[in-house]
Amino acid sequence: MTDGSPVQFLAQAADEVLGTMFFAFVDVLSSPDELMDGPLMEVAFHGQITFSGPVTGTVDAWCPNDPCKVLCANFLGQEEEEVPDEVTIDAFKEMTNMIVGRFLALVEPEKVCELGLPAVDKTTNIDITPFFDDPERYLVLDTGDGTIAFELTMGEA
Amino acid sequence: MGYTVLVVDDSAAMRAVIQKIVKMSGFEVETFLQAGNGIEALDVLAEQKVDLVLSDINMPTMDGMQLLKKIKVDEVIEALPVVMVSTEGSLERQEEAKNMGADGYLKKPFAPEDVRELLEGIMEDAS
Repeated sequence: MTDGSPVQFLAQAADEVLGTMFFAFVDVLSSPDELMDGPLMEVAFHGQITFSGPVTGTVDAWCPNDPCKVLCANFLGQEEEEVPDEVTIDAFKEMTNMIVGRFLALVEPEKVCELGLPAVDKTTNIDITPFFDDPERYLVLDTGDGTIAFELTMGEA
Repeated sequence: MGYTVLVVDDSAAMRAVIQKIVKMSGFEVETFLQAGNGIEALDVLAEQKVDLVLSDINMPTMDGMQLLKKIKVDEVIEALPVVMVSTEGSLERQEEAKNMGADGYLKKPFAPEDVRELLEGIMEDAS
């Protein structure tokens, strides 16, 4: 396993994936005051993926409806109004899958880690204020169009 | 004239994006075919002539490694080039794919500039 903070590797993975395939250039946020739309995600897409092997754990990701549609439209080369929820869910699954896949390649470049199949649903009223209290577990990014937040839970191998 | 390329991925969005990026790369494709998993891919390969397979690894029903194995032991299609397209970027996984007969490995995320040279080289080797 590579030395370093797992959340920093997750930030690097998200930066690479979102920049390369979603045309979004992200900044890491360190305080709720920096959130352009405030800390409450009234309606958000929520993705979750597990991994196992030399490192095990789970990554959860939340992105509010509107910025998520923008990201997915960028990915697909469409206008955001043209992207229905089911396509957004499919694209958000891929985003989660790619970010966690890239994260694992950074954390454990030599050995195979098995990725589970990503799951995405829609959720409401997620307050991400507490995320800023634990930077070893949570990551909050500004995509330029809104916020995407991650929770990284690492288990024992 | 371009190639017939079979894109195998359980995500319809990802299949569309792979097609878009391959087109943007300038690699010459005449027809894209699609399959959502390894079983569907084998059905397509039984019915149509394909020049190149781009396959995800992590898929339900039949994953990309199982598909690769099936192709490489089938004497009718064993010479068909297969490129694994995956989020799984470990050296061990890439070696495993290579040892099973994969002709190339494309790590997600990837950009058009990563694609053309790789695919043209593989098609040149195959011809």
